[in-house]
Amino acid sequence: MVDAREAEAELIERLRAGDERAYRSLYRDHSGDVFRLARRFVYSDAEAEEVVQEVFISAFRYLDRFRGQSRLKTWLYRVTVNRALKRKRWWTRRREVGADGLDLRASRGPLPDTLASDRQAIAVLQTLLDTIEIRKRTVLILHELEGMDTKQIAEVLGCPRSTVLTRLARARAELVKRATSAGIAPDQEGR
Amino acid sequence: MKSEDELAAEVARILAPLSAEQHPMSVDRERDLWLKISAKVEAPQAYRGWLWLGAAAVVAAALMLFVGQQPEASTPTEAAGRVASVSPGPSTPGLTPGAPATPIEPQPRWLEGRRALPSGSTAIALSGRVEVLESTHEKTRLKLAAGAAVESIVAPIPAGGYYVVQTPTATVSVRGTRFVTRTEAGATEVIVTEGKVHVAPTDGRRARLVVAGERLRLEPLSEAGAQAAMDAGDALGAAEILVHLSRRSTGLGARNLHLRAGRSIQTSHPREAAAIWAEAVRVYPTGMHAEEFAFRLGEAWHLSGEPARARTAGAQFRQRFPAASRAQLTTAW
Repeated sequence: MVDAREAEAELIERLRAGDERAYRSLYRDHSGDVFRLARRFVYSDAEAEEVVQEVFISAFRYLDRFRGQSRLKTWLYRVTVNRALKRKRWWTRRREVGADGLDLRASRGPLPDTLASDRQAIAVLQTLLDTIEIRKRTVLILHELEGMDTKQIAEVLGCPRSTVLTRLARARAELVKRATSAGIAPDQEGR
Repeated sequence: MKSEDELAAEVARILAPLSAEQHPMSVDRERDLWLKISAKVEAPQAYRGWLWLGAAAVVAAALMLFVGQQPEASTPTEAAGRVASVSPGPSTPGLTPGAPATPIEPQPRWLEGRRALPSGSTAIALSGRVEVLESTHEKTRLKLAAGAAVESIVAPIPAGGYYVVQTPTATVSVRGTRFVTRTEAGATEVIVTEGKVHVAPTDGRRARLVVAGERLRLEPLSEAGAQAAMDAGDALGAAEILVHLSRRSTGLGARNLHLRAGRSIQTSHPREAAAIWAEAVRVYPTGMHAEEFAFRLGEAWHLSGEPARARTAGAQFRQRFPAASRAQLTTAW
């Protein structure tokens, strides 16, 4: 762990000195994670790519704002979540959420067995997630889909862990309630 | 009223399909994005360089005007004009961003023996035909015919530049290092003696970094290639070949190839195996081996030390195959 910290400190020094190889190294090590995380929030690969661009351009330009109080990866995650949510809010304002014709009411009924392969089922779940308030949804995505623990989430979001726990509990309850009322909760299968 | 644990398990079951979506970024996409990002990030740096240059010129002009160190100038205005005219040009080499624009001698198309390149790097043709596709101060691109080998001693490359060796099966790019690239029987071999190189197969396999003292042999995409990789102790390379062959196959053959790929690295590289199983679960959700794929996915995450993902995969397995004899095993993840 100490070695990783030292290596990261060295990388930050090189980044601040304008070492182009350090930029490349940072991008190579984290672009995949940033893309995957961004994709959890936005609607398409193309949008996620734009978020990746924004995150790294922002990181390279404003590296001096990184205080070193968290890991570099956590900082990048924070920038990613902020950028992705900014896009999401813009889309919400444009009322284009679910513009691809998905409607939860029209998708009632148990999900098919081929859950993982069924694009529509995934899109329905995505739409279901979108109905949850954005701060609770963010915590839910980071915990359930990204596998982060609540301490990591608190660092990424810059809020107390207790807040994360509260939002997570409420988001879970809300998701189950909405899934049940939409008729897509797994435990409703076979009833 | 459901307990916290019950609620968590139910949410995991609901979101299992979304959780299984890994959204991998392809090597090509990663490279394209990097080019866009580096272009945007370099622009302000170059701009800053010109700002410094302009500021230096203004300071110099002011010094000359007020200290009187410009004996040839007939008037202060003329002196200022002369100095100011220097600012955007290349006549102040130490301050000019980028390499000086000296003309490049015409380069022979084929590399024979040792050649010092305009970029400051050196390429040595060891055997076969090596074509010089591009050779400038910043950019070098060599192409190897089958059976050819070239040694490269690469000088530091400026921003926006590259040093690339193309083979029939891979693109090897590098920054400040020494390495040998050769092709043989459909395979590409890279031996690095200094620094590190980036090897990007052209057939969609993942890119790798080869560091000093390492040797990478990229076998061809075939059953024989997979066997050769396995024989050489490269289980990951063999599994990767099998997955790519599976993607090009159909029916039971494709499923069997996927199964072989995942099983071959399940314990040695469980994280990579999980990616293979995740793809299999997505592509073959039902039918032959579907249960095996789903079970192995959870097991691989469990072996990788990823309890949240293992639990999600386990919940998904139990949901899809409640009568499976292994369903109980998944509760231990």
